[in-house]
Amino acid sequence: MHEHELEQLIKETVAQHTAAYQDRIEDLEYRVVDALPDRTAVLEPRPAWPMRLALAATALVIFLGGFWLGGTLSDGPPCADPDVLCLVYPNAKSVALVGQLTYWERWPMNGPDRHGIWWIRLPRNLEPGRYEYGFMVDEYHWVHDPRAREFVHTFDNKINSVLIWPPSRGDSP
Amino acid sequence: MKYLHSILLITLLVSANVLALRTEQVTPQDVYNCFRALNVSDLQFLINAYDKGFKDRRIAPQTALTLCQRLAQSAAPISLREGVLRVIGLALIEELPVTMLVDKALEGLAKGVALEAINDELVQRKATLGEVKALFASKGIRISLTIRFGTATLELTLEAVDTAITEAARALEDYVRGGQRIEDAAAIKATVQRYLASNRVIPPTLVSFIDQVVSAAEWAQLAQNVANRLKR
Repeated sequence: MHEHELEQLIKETVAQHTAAYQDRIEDLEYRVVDALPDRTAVLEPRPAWPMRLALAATALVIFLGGFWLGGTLSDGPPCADPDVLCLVYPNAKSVALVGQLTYWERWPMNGPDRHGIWWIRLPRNLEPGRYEYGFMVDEYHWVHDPRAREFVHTFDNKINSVLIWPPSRGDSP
Repeated sequence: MKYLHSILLITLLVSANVLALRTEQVTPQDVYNCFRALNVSDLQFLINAYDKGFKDRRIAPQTALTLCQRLAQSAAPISLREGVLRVIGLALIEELPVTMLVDKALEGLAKGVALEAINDELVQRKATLGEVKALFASKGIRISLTIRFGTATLELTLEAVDTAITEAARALEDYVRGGQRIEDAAAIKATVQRYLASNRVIPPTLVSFIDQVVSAAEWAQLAQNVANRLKR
């Protein structure tokens, strides 16, 4: 069968079917338009308050989420907090807080963040007093805290930083 | 139902076990066992010295055990490890406060300082503690004595006197090791008073009393002694 013969056959078949269902197709567009008013019931406005509540809740979630995300992404470690000790040491593999307040045990610090900052929050129940401390970088390298207000010389002329707790107003840790 | 009873019983037993573990206290015997495990040459001396320290409440068994356990982790010869315990034991026999000595020993071990250097440090600081104690005693600052200062009266407790001795000795050591001027007696006295005042265990009345009765020259003499010991 040639292509033009096949095309002719299709056309005839479509014409036959169209003729057979003529009564159904007739005025189809008018009947569709007539039926529309019945369907508007679906689109009738519902009571407004649940929608507003949902919108408000969504806005609140986005707002708070933004705060959280912003804080997480932009602020980095909370080094401005008086109970947080920080050290910038981008090339370190590990940094630990060591001192009188840890009973000279090594407390691993968090980090580094993308700026190479390591940080640790002091225990909540830290007794008021004067504490010597330092940072152990990569297991053996003793580093003092450049943000400390006081320092003392100790073994092998190394320097311990001194933490006065609680800090007086305006002091960094 | 049978299984429920079993589960309840097991839960109770586990809870009791956990509670017992949490409340378990370190005893002097635990400390002596640790000394024994170190194979120290003069175990009896250490037992006598630390026993006095525990009774006098100058050191807690937990603290002594921590020190012993950290020394056990050291690879240094046993004589050097025993030396650390011995210096602190001597201080306990001489009724000196040992907080600073234990602290320095733990610091040195944490930093990986050679035990010879730790021992030297402890011997020097023990001497400073002894000198401060003698100075205070000459001024009537002794445990269980009452001092009258102006209108105030203060009963001197072991904790207050020992902490004052420790802080004054620490101040002198820090001052001299920090390379500051030994000739500046006023600065030395100011440093000592600042250390005393910043420690909340020491009653302010005692801090004021020390300020009143110990002269700058006396503090400067002790600082000079610290410097001389460091030069050796």
